[in-house]
Amino acid sequence: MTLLSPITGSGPLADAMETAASGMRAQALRVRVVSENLANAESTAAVPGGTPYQRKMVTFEQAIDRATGANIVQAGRITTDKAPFHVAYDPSHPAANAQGYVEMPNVSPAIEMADMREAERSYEANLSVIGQTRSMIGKTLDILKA
Amino acid sequence: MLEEIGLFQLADDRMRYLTAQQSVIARNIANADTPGYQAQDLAPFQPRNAQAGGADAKLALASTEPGHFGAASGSDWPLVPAPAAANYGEKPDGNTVSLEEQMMKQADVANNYALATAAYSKSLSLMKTAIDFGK
Repeated sequence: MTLLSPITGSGPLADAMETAASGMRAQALRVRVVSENLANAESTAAVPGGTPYQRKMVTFEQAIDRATGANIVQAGRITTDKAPFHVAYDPSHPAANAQGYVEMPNVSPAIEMADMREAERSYEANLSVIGQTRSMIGKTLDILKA
Repeated sequence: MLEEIGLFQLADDRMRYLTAQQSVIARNIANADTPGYQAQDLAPFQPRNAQAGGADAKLALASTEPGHFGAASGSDWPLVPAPAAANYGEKPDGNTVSLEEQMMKQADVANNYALATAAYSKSLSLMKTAIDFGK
């Protein structure tokens, strides 16, 4: 049988807090990767014909926190997008190849924006879980006052 | 002492169930973007005295580590995969969590928990009245 002890920091409510916090950490990392992509949306190579910045992607996976036993979510390895690069014609660019074409990063601002919005939405959902868990702990403590 | 009184036992069970459900909702929401994650839910609430022999009499797997199988759910109510509602579909990556649905469930848990704690403290004040009256 599980003990309901929000004060000592174990039990389902503490687990819920831990889980929501891990979700927020994961989403925050996702926003960081999005900002890296957007910041490097125009980062070409420095030498003629070189490869430009490659878009980064983050995936999530389930895990169990060893200290508390709570089910958490964590970010897996950050991988790079294998999509082809955009090509622009600009013979005066330092990274232009012999034909005058420059390879631009495979970052699409619209996709990054959508990704950022989704991360924001999930972050808020996790935040609401923390808020509600706190209020449930508060209600439990209110019994003492009755 | 109080657990032997039916009213308290019921409110106690209800609170345990709702806290377990809250932790399941937290898990679903945290995994809302995890590829292949299937949304989970708890089996419907049943007070302990309604379960055959009581929850304590059930045979349970011994767990010496928190990560052991059988100990992870940590509750008297089994985890079940959430039924695939007609309104909410599966995302292309195989994830079946719908944030809207989880928010509604969470609001439901909040209301029911407020009700359970109110019932508990009301019973407590009833008990106090009875004791005071005897003086």
